[in-house]
Amino acid sequence: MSNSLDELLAAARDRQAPWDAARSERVLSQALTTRATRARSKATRYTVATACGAVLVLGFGIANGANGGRAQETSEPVSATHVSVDSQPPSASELAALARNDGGYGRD
Amino acid sequence: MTIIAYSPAMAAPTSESRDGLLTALFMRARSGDKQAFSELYAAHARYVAGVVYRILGNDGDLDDIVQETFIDALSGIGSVEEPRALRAWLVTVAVRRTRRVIGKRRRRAFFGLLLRDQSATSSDPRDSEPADFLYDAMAKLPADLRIPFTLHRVEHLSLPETAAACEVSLATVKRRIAEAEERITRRLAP
Repeated sequence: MSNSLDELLAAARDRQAPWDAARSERVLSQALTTRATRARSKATRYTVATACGAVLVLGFGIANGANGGRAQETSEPVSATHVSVDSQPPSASELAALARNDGGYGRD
Repeated sequence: MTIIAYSPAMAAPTSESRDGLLTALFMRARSGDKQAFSELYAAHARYVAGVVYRILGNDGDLDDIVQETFIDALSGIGSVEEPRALRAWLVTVAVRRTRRVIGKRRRRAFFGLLLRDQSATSSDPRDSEPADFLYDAMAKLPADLRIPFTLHRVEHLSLPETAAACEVSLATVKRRIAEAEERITRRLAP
């Protein structure tokens, strides 16, 4: 290898890219087209993702609503022996039993 | 699409008016003017293509790299604050793209899919240009060594410019250039 590194570097520096107007215009045109295509596909992906999200939320909402209705239905008394108790203030004897904690049997 | 090629003759012959024209184009391109961007492209594409070509040693992926560089430029030109910094920024983007291409070539070569496509050498040694010896020697270098070496020693970018283009520190770029030079010199030795 007779060429020194400096000579080889100078030879590399003298290399010119085969870059003419037609090539330049083609590359720019492709760049603009590619960018537009990518922007479109990005918008499409965003729309699809948003639509999927909306469908999921809507579906979840509907399912939740149906479950809520069922829960409301089942919150009714199901036992025949169930008796609703009117909320009245406890009597004095009940209060005294509670205070003694003997269940009202008057155990010592 | 019509490209209005920038030429210094179109503007006034002074460099001030050239800078003024490029600044005006830069401002318009930043605000989304496609025509201004096309004119900026015409002003810078040849330089960027030359840098990429001299890093790669051939023009196999030149169109793709320049194209991707200017696609990035279209979306990222807003991040460039100074019109004068545009060319250096374009080189940084192009270097990033070139590094990926070199990495891909090396991986393909490693797996044997590409036997000898990393240099610009001719199959007939008599057809080889002197620079092909250099690209032969550089073909085995990783992109992290090859790119800063080419930018500094072939393109004559300063060390800070090379460091900025490679997105590494000044110390790192100095070390990489020295290592690349050492390996190339060893390969070129008879």
